[in-house]
Amino acid sequence: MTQEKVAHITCIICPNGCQITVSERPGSPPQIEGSTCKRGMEYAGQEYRDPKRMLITTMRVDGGTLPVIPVRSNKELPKERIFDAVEHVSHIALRAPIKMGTVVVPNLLNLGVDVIASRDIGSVSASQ
Amino acid sequence: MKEVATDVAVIGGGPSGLAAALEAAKNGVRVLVLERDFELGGILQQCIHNGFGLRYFKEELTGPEYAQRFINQLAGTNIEVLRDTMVVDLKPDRSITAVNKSDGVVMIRSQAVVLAMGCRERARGAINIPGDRCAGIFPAGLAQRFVNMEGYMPAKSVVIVGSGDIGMIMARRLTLEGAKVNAVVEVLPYAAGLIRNRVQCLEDYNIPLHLCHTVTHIHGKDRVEGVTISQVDDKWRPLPGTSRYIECDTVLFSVGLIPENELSQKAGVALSSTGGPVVNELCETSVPGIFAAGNVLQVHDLVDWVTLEAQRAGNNAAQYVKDSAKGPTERERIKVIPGDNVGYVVPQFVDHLTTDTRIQFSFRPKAPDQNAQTQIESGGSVLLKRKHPHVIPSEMINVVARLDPAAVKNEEITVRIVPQPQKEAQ
Repeated sequence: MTQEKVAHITCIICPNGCQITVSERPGSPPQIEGSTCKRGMEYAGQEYRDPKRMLITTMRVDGGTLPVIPVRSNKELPKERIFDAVEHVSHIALRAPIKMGTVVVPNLLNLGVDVIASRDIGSVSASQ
Repeated sequence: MKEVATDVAVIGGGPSGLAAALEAAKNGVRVLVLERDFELGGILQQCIHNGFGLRYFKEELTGPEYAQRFINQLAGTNIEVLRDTMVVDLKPDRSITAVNKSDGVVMIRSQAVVLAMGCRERARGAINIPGDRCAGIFPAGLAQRFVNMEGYMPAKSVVIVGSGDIGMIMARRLTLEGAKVNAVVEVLPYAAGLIRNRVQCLEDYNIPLHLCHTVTHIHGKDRVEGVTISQVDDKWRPLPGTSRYIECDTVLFSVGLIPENELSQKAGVALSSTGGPVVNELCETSVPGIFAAGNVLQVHDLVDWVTLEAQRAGNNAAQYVKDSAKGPTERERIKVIPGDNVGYVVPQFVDHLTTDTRIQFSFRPKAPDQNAQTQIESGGSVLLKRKHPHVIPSEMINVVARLDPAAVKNEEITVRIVPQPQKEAQ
């Protein structure tokens, strides 16, 4: 008996929102159907094999004009690690002042991505 | 009382105000930005997700990064900024009354004004959701500021009313911060925001989206305890027998934005069906020397277009200061009319049309369509065509056009969205 794996993916590349079906039988490459363009095919393939997302969250700041700073990953990480990543950075407190682009967590969870500050945060003593 | 004189006063230091101020200053005029918050950047500072700047910077940025790039540009200019300063009055002669803690009342005399106050969220009252008046009911953008800027978590268990982009983005954000989002309730038969957000904010986290549903009652004594939701018919009336109860401690509303018009109205600026001021192709309102740009003019979906619009407003405000002796134009003003499947068009008027005038028309379709075509038409002939593979109301269309003044008939042009014509047999 052949075990066929089927995944239904909504394409996010354009407002068309194609419903793409990826099906795979053991020993043969995945078949991608329902996309109307090449970018959609690529997206569906990537999403099927190894879905990735950016990390977008905030981290605590001590001595800043605000108590939290928005941060992001410098590239995408595996989708299933996003919760771990948010949890991990939420335990780290940074010290103001911080400049946009500063690496605040290098090599996040050994995933090979850095977390960087999304903006400047001034310190309360030296108000802007 | 402090008195200040400037050439161009910009009310609001968000993306629109920053772009207008920087562009005005390039003309060598004095510029003053008035911002009510303690810092610049406006709503972008709470929009910590990515997806900004793809058009303007050709790279994907977060909201705060987009804002920071403009804030950093102020350093090389002599633009003055008054933070923590609330404008309380604007007169047709362009004099401004503002208040802040250090100066008390500040009177500002300016030769031109750019309105860049942005917009405000529609709240529960605007859509008349019945029920108890308890704690735990917020507009989604307010909750976004609490979580992303002030470090507060306002919810453990949430129902979100409206599937606009802010609502869906907050569904993901609250989930990542440990809350349980029990439902997103949308009265329309489709998600109001982008497909990308429906997939990556709701489906990624298995958050149920209830289409054709509305909240018919909010329950709670001191704090929200739950909501009753019902399916609706095509006139948005709840259908009997479809109601059910969902427990939650917080209800967020993401049900649209309205331009902040209080100051515009005080200045006597005429308002239009976009909800914001009526403007001509220079972004100038009905009051000479008062310009408008960004979400106070029309609610945008991409900040990149806010920047481009505000740059024009800022530049034109500076030109007005330098050349205020410029008399009225010889020609009657040309009226811009929304035609088939077009809800509104900005600008509503074209006042200075030459062969070199580049006019940016912004408009939204009333209904989704595929293989469509924008046509700008006057006196029965089509002056410009633009193809669109698909159009949806949540995505604004921007067309930059150069029109032949001689081709404009009856001082009227119509912008319409029509089906892409099939190739006709000759």
